[in-house]
Parts: sequence; C-alpha cells; structure tokens
Amino acid sequence: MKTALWALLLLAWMAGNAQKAVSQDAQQDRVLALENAWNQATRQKDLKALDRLLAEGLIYINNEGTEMNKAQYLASVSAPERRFDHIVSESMRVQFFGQSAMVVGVFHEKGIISGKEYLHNGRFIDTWIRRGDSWMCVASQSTLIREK
Amino acid sequence: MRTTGWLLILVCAGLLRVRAQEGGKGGATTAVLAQEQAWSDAESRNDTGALEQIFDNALVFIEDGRLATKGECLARVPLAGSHPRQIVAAATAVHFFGSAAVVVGTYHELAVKDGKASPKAWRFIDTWVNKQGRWMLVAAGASPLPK
Repeated sequence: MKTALWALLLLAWMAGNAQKAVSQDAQQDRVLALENAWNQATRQKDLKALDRLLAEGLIYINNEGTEMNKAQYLASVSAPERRFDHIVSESMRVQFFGQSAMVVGVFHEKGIISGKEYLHNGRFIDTWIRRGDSWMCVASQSTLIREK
Repeated sequence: MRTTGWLLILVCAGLLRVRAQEGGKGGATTAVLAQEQAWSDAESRNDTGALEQIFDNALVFIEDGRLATKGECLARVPLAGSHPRQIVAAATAVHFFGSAAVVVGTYHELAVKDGKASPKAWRFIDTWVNKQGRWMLVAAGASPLPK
C-alpha cells in the first residue's frame, strides 16, 4: 500500500513537472513571437499593435542612451522622417522569473532617419511582465555592438 | 562590472534623487536601492563574495554591446581590482511590475588610458526580482551617452 502511494506521488510529481515544462515552453514561444511582432509592428509603424505590446509604464533606452516613455517611443517610431526597412532579432534567449520574462538577443536594423541611411547591429535586454494570458514589455534597453 | 577594465580609478558610488513610481512601494524602493548601493560598494571593494549574493545565477549583463553572464561578471572583478576606478551612479527612478523592479539611472566613469583621462557616461536599466524576500539582480544593461 505504502509503495503504491509513493508510486502515485512520484507519478503526480512527474506529471506536474512535465506540464510545467510544456507550459514554460509555450510561454517562451509566446514571448519570442511577441518580440518578432514588435519588430514587424515597428517596421510597419503599426502603432495599434505597438500599443498592445508595450505596457503603459514602459521604460525604453535606445542605443544612444536616450530614455523614453511609451508615448515618446511611439512618437519616435511614427516620426515621418523615419523609415524602417529591415528589423530582425536573432540569438534570443528567454529567462523566466515568476511572472516576469527577460529576453536577451541581437538585433539588426536598417532604415533612414532624416534622409540618412543607417544600419545598426546591437544587443538588447527586454523585460516582459505577464498580465493575465498576455505579456507586455515594461523595459527595453539596447546598445550597439562595436566592430572589432 | 560597470567598468572598462584597465584604466584609472578611485571608487565612489552614490545613489541620488530617486522617486518611487508607485504609491506604497517606499519600503521596496528602499530595499532595491540598498541593493544597488551594495552592488556599487561590492564593486569598489572587488568583493566577489558580496557580488555573488547580489547577482542572480541567471544574470545577463550587457554593456557596450557585450553580453556577460554572472560567471563572466565575477571573473572580471579581480582584473578590475588591479586598477583603481571611479564610478558615480545616480538612480533616477524605480518602477515596480509585480515582483520585478526596474531601476533607471545614469553612471559616470572616469577612465585613464596611456595617461589620458577619458570620462564616459552611461544610462542604465537594472532589473531586480524579489526571490523569497531578497532582491536579486537578473538583468543589467547600459547604453553610452553621447559626449
């Protein structure tokens, strides 16, 4: 009887862990998908989509060290003198801390600002917070990778 | 780790004007800022034991486009310790999102190379997570400010 009970407990524990792993994988996919959605929304200057991805209290620091809140960030994306031709992220890694997720990765961005072409290769850290079934980005910081 | 390694240096660190972004978070704000201060102090003393307690095992640190893990951050401490350095940090805001706290601020670093002093300034975001009552640094990133 005792053995059966232990076996049952072991099975329940294994099932719980397996479910947790699957759930974490699903959340990881979700957060990575949101990162890619952010790139796409920026490229298309889709402010509605960006509004859904970014928390009201967003803190954004760009690669020039400029700090922006959500409104300032959205204004910088929609600025008419700015065009995004290409934005991709790669080598992304997600780490979960309870209801928070940290994403680090590399980005490549190409576009035009005030008639001048630019190409940025950088590294970023984004902090996402789970709100219900969704995730929202609350902090983002990027710096350029220096050419060697 | 907010350093460029070789270079000059005397250390002082200070946390200046800070405002909590959410009401009723005064105690947590104080605790997070105390950890920021402890981090600066531990850096100045090259105290890897203290840093070990402040950095989460999953820490990711990005400065100047370089990515470092906790182990890499700790490994850099003795190297930095062979040179004095001067770092002045100023946190300007602490934001709370559930069990995570995001600290924003700037820090200034005075570095000397080949006898020439070169000041650098950075804007940072540090992310702390409360784990069983203790705030642990899980992510830190800094972008250089224009000269």
